[in-house]
Order: sequence, then structure tokens, then C-alpha cells
Amino acid sequence: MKPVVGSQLSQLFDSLMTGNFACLSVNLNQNGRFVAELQAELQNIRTDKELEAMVENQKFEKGKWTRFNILVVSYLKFCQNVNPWSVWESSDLIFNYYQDLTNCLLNDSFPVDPLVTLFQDTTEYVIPLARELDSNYRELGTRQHQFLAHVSSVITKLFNSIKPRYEEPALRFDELPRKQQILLYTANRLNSIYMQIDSPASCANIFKNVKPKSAIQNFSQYPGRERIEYRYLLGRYYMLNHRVSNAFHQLNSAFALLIKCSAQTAGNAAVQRNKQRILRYLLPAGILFGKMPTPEICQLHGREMAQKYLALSHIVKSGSLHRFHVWLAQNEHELRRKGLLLVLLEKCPLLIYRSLIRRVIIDFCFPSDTNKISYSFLANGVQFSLGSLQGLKPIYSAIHAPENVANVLESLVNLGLFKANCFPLSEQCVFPKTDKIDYIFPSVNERLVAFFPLNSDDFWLDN
Amino acid sequence: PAAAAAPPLPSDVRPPQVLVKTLDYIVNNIISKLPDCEGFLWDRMRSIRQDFTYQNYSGPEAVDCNERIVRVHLLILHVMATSDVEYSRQQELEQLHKALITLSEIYDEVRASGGQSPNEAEFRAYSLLSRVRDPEYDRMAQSLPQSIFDDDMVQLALCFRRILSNSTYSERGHIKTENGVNLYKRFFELIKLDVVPFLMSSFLEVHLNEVRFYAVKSLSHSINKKHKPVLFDFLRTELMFNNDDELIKFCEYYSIEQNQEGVKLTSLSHHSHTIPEKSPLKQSYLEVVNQKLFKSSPKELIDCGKPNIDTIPFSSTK
Amino acid sequence: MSLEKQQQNTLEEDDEFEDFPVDTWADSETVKEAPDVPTNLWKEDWDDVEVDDDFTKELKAELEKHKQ
Repeated sequence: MKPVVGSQLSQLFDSLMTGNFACLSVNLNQNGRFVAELQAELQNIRTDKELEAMVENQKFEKGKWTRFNILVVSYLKFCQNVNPWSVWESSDLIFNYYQDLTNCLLNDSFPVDPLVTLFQDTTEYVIPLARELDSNYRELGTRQHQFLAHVSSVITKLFNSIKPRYEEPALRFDELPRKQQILLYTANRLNSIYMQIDSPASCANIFKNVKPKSAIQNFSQYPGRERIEYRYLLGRYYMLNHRVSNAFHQLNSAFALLIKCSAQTAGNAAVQRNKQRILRYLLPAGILFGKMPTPEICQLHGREMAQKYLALSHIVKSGSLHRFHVWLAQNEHELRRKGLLLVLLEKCPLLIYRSLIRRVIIDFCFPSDTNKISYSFLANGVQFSLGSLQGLKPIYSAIHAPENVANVLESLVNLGLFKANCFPLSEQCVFPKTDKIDYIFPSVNERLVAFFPLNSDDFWLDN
Repeated sequence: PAAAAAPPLPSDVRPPQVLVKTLDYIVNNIISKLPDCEGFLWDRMRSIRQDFTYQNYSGPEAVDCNERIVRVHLLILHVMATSDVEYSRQQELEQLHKALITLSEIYDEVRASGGQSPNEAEFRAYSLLSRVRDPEYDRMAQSLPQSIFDDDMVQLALCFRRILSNSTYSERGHIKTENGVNLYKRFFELIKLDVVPFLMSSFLEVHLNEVRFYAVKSLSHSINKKHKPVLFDFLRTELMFNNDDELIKFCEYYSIEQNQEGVKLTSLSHHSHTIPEKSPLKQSYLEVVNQKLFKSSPKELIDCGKPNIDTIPFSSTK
Repeated sequence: MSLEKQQQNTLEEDDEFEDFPVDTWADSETVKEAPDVPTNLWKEDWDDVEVDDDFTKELKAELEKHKQ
């Protein structure tokens, strides 16, 4: 017996025939009324078989596109059974639908391009939903990050199906097939999820594959907001891997582009929040890279965070290990949550020692016209810089000590941050005879760029 | 070979209680026969871990066994470095690393279900030292609960990671990162202290040759090219060699010139502690660490943890 | 948790980038990344300005005592 096709259903099928896929949306905020009407109509259909037969009868794409039929059935099942009052009860339906939708996009021999917008919209819909469900994983009895991990596995399939176009010449953005146009979008969604589910190592594979998959002429042709997010995520990824120069380069580019792209919308709250997000990683990366933020930045983005980093940059510049350790201890909780505590703990001190030794040379060697300084004199300086260790945890009290001076001088000399020769036996340091302090202590970021070159795989991002 | 073997029959897999007893027997009767029984211990401990894996069991017995197995491996590392008995350090480290990964996974699970493993801090500390240059482990450390993060063992491990963070470290596949200070002096200063327990010291000794190599490299690249040779006494003390003989062997391995005056640091031409065409330098040990070992019996060292039963609150067990 | 309201309820995941309005011309190919924009973000050379705070003064006073 053939099921009766109601008026809403025939409207749906007509739309699909003409390639209008927006009606397949499961977002109740947008498509709720239509879904509700379909739900009413679908109540007299008893079995999945009936639904399937009904969809097959429509002969979409001459009945050859099986995955599309599966998608439509999946959508109808969602309409039939969705409980608008429970995300949890409806989650199976939604995630099955999302998977079936993505499956449609994998095989390029069918007209997949019109579905791309629906895929993007649905992705924007399911990610917050998955996050919401995951935040209740204990009550639900699911695994931690289960839903977001599932979403990422679905998006990965799409990402992998975006084929590089070896033979054909590169195209402008607006000439690209829709699937190629969302390459950066899918990469961003994946990397963002990996960061959220505590699996940033998975980002490596995505970052590595974007360029080979890209059929675009220049990176700069991708939409501005996608480029900004891409570099933001790449910068954070480098920061997590302690690759300071690379992190700085990407985050600084992201920030510059955001300022540029939002010149007319700078007051917008989302723009403001995105700036804060970038600055949260850009400021520490910049300081570790030997850059001093300008105070104007704090006026411009006058949040607490910018003020804090301005304080840190002063501490690094003045050479006080004690203030540095206290600063870390005071901000420990927040820094730990952002994964910044240990990279700062590890990589600020060399710069602090540099400032300290530089200061001592200006104050004590230059006036007496000497180009030598003894380890023991500097050790007194380090002792003073360390101050009282009382009440500080081992990570703030057990690494640095006055006796480190010899090793610190060697490290500074080795990295070209201090032009000098060490004399370990007579325990002194000899530097060039000059009254130009900048000759003895070359610019930090110039030296760092020379020793830690930027990743050449990223050069195409600058074009 | 083990990977290709068919999975064992269920009847051949020992249940958790039996595995605990097996390890008890090993700890009580076999480890005192180190260094000779190293190969046997390695094999028995691996098979205990495998039997847990086969039955996909991660209860208290599995935690207990994996924890004690890690400690045995750490003990072995030091003992073997002090002896002439042949062994594969790389295989010891590999099993140790695997046991630590198993433990980390179980600790995460226990916490996800609202529990707390009593010995977690100690083994998180070892994990942090098992991949001392992998930033992924810093990420892990920063996400630990405050009480674990603040534990002395974890804090010490985090200190040692910074102390070893030197930017001139060079090895295939390793990406150098900025501003790493090479604090080798501090490494030797700390490892001497009693606050660093024997098992942790033993794990740190794994890096001894490398710490010394980068110390020489650091000195060599920071002194004047015409610098005179440095006295054996100076280097022996500075790099904590147990005697001149060890220092000479070290210099010979890295083709560092010596004469009657001492060691010619500027003659060092290697950039990495690993020399591809040579078999690695035998791992060294420190007399100060050996002294720590004498303070307790092997059994005391291995069985020092708190029991793992009741780690998961009753209400949240499924 | 209701399906219709969930998007407003979602806890703001702090680090996740948000969609935001882009200037209309911003997506066009003509916009290259402008190198001149962030100049006010960082000082040209941080060694140009010497820090002269209480720490550096106290350090100097302390080291005067140890002068060779």
C-alpha cells in the first residue's frame, strides 16, 4: 500500500526537486514551523520501510543518488520523532542526520555543491549542541567530549574528501567549486574542536594538509574572517608547542588582519571578544619573542589582561626574577587553564637574566670603562633579583639560583643574545670594548629569528 | 614477534588477583637478584601488563601492578648503569613508557568518574620526565587538579623539565624552541639533594650523558677559541663524573682532545649528543644517587605506594 | 535542555572564535594583509627605553655594596 503524501511533504519534495535544500534544515529556530507541520503529517507512517519507499519513489537524481535518499529519510525521521523539549532525546536523530548529510558531500560525481551551504549551517548548529551535551557528560553517562569528538570525525570525512586539483590551474575564490571554497572553513572547525576536546596534537595533520588541498591562487583570496581564525588557531597551536616565533608571527598577522577587516565594526562586541582571544596568546608570545607591547594597546583594549601583560613586560625588562615569580603565582590559575604558565616559566627567564646583566653592565662597567665582569658580582645581582623565596612553590623557587650565573651567561652567548666570551676558570666574562650597549646585547627578536627560523610551510599564508 | 602471535586462549590469561600475586613474588624474591635477572624481570613484567590488556581490565589491581612495575623499571635503570651486565636500555625505557601511558589513562578515567588515585602525583611526575622535551606533557601537567600540580614530585619534575630546556639540544626530529636555558649546574645541584627521591634520580640519570654533552657544548661555544685546556679537576667536579676515568672515556667518545694540561673544550665538533655512526655511550650513573639507593631495600622502594582500592566513590560506579 | 533555546544557553567557550561582521570590502582580493596596521601594538625596539623603576634603583644600591 502506498502511503499518502500530505501537502507539506509534497512541498518538501517539490523543493528538493528544484534543488532548494534549505527546507532540509533541522535547526528548529529557523525551520521549526515546517518541521512541526511535517511531524503532524508523518504520524500515520508506521515503519521506516514506508518512509524509505516514499522517498525512493521521488526518484531524485534519477534514483541513483542513494546517499541523498538516505539523507532525506534521515531528515524525515528527525521530523517524525524530534522532541523539541529535549536535546538529549533528539540527539541521535540530529547526529544521524548530520552524518548522512555529510556523507552526501563525499562523492563529487553527484551535484553536491548546492548542499554545501546546508552543511555549513548544520555544522554551526550541531557544534554548540554537541558542546552543550558534552558539558553534561556525567549526568548523561557519556564519555568526556563524546559528541564533539563525533562531530569532528564527521567533518574529517568531508575534509579528507576535498581533493587537491593537481592538473588544473589555480582558481580565484569565486571560481572554486563550493566544496573547495569551504576548505579553510572545515579546517577551522576541526582545529577549533580539537583544541576544545583537549586533542591539539590532531591539528598537525589538518594544518599540514590545507595547502596541498587548496586550489586557490592566493591565500589572501579566502574570506577574511576565515583567514583570521586559521592563523589564530595556527598561532595557538605553535604556542602549545612552545614555538614562540612562529606563534608570534601567526597571531600578530591574525590580529593585524582583524583590525583591518573590522575598521568599520570595531565597536561590535564579537569583534571585541575576538581581539581579546587573539591578544590572550599574542601578548605572551610577543614578550617571549623579545617584543615590548606599547601602553597604547592597553588603552585601546583596556582589559585587565592587557594590563597584566604590560606589567609582565616591565618585569622582563627590569630583570626581577622575584617579581616574575610572584606575577606567575598570582596569575597561575588563569595561565594554567590557557596552557601558558609553563611556557612563560621556561622562556621568560633568559630574557630577564639578559635585562639584569645588561643593567649591571650599564651601571657598573660603563662608568669605570671596563669590559670585564665577574661571575660572583653578577651572582650578587641574581641573588638580589631572586629576592625572598619564602612562600613560593618549587617551580618558582627551585630552578633559579645565583650559582646559575655561569650557565646563564653561556646560554646567552650561545644564542647570540650577548656578545661576550666566558672564562669559566677565572669566572669572568669579557665583552667588546664599546660604549654602545646595543652592540653588546643585540636585538632579541633579530637574534631569535636567526636562530629559530619561521616554518617555511606557512609562507603561502603571507601571500 | 609478540605482535604477530595469536591472542592467548582465555584460559591462559591470568585474572587480576593472580597477576598481583605474581608481581608480589617477583618483588619479594627476584629483584634482589638484580642485575643478573634483568631480562627475566623485563619479560615477566611485560607479560603481567599484557594480561591486563587482554582482559581490558583497569581496576585497582591493574593500577597497583603498573605502578609497581614502573618503580621496578626505574630501579633497574640505575642498577644496570652501575653494572657491566648486558641489557637493552631502550627496551626498558619503552616498557616503562608504556606502563606510564597506561597509568595516565586510568588516572584520567578514575577522575572522570569522580575518584582519585592515591599515587597519581608520583607517576604523573615520572610521566613528565619520560618525555622531557615534549610540550604535550606540559599541557597535560597544566590540566591536572591543583593538588596534583602542587605535589612536590610533580613540581620537581616540572623544575627539571625547565632545567633541561636548553635551546641548543639537537636531535633528529626535534624542533628547537626559543629561550631555553641550559642549567646543567642546577641539574647536578638538585639531583644531589634528598628531596629528589632515589627513583626519580634514577630516571634523571638517563639524561646524564646528554646533560654532560650539552654542558661541554655550551662551554665550548661560549669561550674564546684560543682558550687554554681546562683542568680535569674542573670538569670532573662541574659535570659530576665519579672519577677521571669516566671523564676520559666521555671525551674519547666525543673526540674531545685532551693533553697533560687537561681537556681542550674548543675541540668539540659534534653538535648532537647522538652520533649516528657510533653505538651510544653506555649510560652513566652518579655516586650520589647510589648512596640514596642504599637507604632502603629494593622491596621497600617498590612497595612504597598507598593501596589503590576504593579509589572510585561507590555511588558513581556503574 | 530544550532544542530551541539551547544556543542561547550554551556556555560561552572562551577561546572559540566567534562569527563577526566583516567590513564589506574585506573579503575582496584587493585587500592584502597590511603590514602597517599593528605598528602601535609593539615598540620598534624595546631596548630604546631604559626601565628606571624602584627595582633597578635598589639593584644598583645593593650591588654598590659588592663593588669589586
